Amino acid sequence: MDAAADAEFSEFMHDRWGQLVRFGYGLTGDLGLAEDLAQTALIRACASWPRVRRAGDPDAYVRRIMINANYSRFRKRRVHELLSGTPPEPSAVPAAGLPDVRQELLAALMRLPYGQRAVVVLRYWIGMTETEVAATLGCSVGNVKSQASRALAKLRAADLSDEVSHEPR
Amino acid sequence: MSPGNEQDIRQLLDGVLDTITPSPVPASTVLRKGKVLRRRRRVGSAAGAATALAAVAVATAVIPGLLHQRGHQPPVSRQHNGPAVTVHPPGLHSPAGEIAWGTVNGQRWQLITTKSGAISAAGASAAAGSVPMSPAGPDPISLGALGGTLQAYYGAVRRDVTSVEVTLGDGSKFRLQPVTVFGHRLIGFETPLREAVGRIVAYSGHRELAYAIPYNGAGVAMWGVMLRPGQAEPPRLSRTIFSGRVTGTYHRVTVHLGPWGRCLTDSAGSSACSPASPGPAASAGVIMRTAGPGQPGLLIGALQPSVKAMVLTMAGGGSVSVPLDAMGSLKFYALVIAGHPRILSWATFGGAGNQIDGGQGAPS
Repeated sequence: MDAAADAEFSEFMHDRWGQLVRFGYGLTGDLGLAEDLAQTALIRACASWPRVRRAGDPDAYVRRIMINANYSRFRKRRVHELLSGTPPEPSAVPAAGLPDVRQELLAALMRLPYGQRAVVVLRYWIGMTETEVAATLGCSVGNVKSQASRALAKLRAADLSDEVSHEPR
Repeated sequence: MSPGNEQDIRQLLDGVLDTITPSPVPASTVLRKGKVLRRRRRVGSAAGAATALAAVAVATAVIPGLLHQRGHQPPVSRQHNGPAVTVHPPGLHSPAGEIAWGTVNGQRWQLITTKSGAISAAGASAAAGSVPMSPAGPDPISLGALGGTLQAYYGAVRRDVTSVEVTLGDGSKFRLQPVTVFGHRLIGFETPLREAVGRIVAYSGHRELAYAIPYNGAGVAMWGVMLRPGQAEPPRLSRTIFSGRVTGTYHRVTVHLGPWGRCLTDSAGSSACSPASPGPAASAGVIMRTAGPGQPGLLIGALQPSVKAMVLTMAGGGSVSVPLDAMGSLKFYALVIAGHPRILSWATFGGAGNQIDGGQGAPS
């Protein structure tokens, strides 16, 4: 990779880092994992930067790597939960500082199956069309529609604010 | 609230994800590992090609024993995983005024100052500026920065500072020994351009005096305040308080609160950090302006939390209430000063409607 391509990649990396970490956070709900995913994606993009650049949409390439890397994380580790006598360290992101409804949304989002969560983040946070989401996830547009529909239904059903505001009748 | 429609979901997701403040970009780690991965792929494909060639050669028996020669090839050089930055104090034969010299990824750099405080970042980065000769305020270190082909940092330290430890974004560390140059205690180092600086710690002997966690989002490490040992890091918050075109230039001004204090970045190019504490209550709290007083431009201010409203009186008799954006313990406002209608006066008010401060013309 020549100096100009190096500089171009460096600029891309600095410009997109924040957005990629936020995207990763939407996928994982964990800032540490989100930063790992973003870093992994950027390392792979760096290794193939001339090819990525020629493909014309580096953002899509990097997001796709993050999605696949996160799938791999699930496949390899099966996400074991280890019981511990001490509570885990609090997340670096003060989720507790978020307004209730946003905490609820974050919790509900993390309860969605991974595919539905990815569709929600790509469709409603990144703002992709259904066709673009399908291309990114490597599935059909119909699949995206059904995943989005199911995800929205679950998010509606997870309206926790109703539960916490129950009053004696 | 039920996320009943897509618009609700979008707004809620924005609200959740926009509050995330990522760590500094691990630029050097990404570049180093990316290059290692690229090299491995090339070695892999070259090995594949060599194997194919060898198979052809064996099959045709043209070059017997070719495969055995592989054992005599020099080993592949290993990627250097240590810090890419080295820093050295001036030596016996160093020129007068040298603060430090070293290398960044093999490129030599040198920081030299003059009696008047001018500094030149000679070697790999060609840039010039002026060095602070003593720390400003209570902090033991004041650093300035110069960007060239490398990022140069230089500055003054208090007399009691005996060493300074710098941790880069990839976790690599190096320790600086302050040198006395023209009667001033100075330090300096250079990093790859846009490399994040994770932490800077000032020591007196083995005792930690203070540490800084810089804000790196503007491409250069900046901070407005150093923290004392054991002091809890303030939470990190970022919010865009203005975006739009002012006098033909697009500005997107974002406030970043965190362990670095209060940093302001403007997409038009300027950025600055200062302590997060508000100024005096009786003040318009102007912290950034794109033009001189009275000139059309953008003005950003930070007010004490006790200020509940800011009102402008306009020429022609009307008044305008300035929206205040609460963030951390501060209230920010953004004001576009246009030529017409002219601002006759401004005033700030407390919760009980009492006027706290005011002045003629636009806030200044």
